[in-house]
Amino acid sequence: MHNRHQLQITNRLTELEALQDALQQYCEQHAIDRDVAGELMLVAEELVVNIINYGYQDHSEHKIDIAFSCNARQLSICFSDDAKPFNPLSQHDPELGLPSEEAAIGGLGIPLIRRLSDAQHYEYKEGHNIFTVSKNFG
Amino acid sequence: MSLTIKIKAEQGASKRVSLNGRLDTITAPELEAELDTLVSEPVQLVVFDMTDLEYISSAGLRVIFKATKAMKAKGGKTGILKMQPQIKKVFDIVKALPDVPIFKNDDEMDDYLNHMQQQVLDDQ
Repeated sequence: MHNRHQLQITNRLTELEALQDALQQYCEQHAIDRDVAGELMLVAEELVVNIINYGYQDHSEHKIDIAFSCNARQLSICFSDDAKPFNPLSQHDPELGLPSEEAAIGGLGIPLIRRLSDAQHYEYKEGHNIFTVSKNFG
Repeated sequence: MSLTIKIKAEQGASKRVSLNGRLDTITAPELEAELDTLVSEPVQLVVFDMTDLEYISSAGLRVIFKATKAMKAKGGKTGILKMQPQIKKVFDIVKALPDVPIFKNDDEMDDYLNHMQQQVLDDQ
């Protein structure tokens, strides 16, 4: 995978903006189709918000490393964090399609990550969760 | 991109909440606060006008779900006016709110509001 771009954010939800801006710019630089870029944004948001909201037990600042890379057919985003071991896709989807009174309010990010990306890979290595997600484009 | 929220009274005890921009983890709390207030008012139908909504994430869905539940709990309803294709795709993936009416245009919404008004009159 070529054309690598890296950034680091801290585990605060306000940092999502930095990720959005960087990904937006990266997609523009590589002429990624707007709809594909939008779906990648959504997958990235769901993944990083999961890390920030559920990954840490303490109230300290942690760093999350994010790397973008792409070739002619595919764009990949890799998230690396030192939160507790956690694979977001190991969770079951909440029950979907329920009427509003019964509908699950949480966990909706998981089906979105699954359906809006083409490949996902998780490993826990040297004290880090490493989650890579890829999306193909025409 | 951020979120602009406009709330406008419609016929009957209805309100149109127009969402312009992105409804994501950062902008969702602002909408949540507005909706918490709105739902506590004497409103029967809250229609989310998504004509100019470009992006929605699970944080945004959560706020819409929450408002829908709250409206239902007080005997009211929510509706959605116009979803852009990428927004509809997100709703379809999570099979969101099958019981919430989606209006393709203002005429459909007005028909629904008229029908609601008529039902209120008929019940009186």
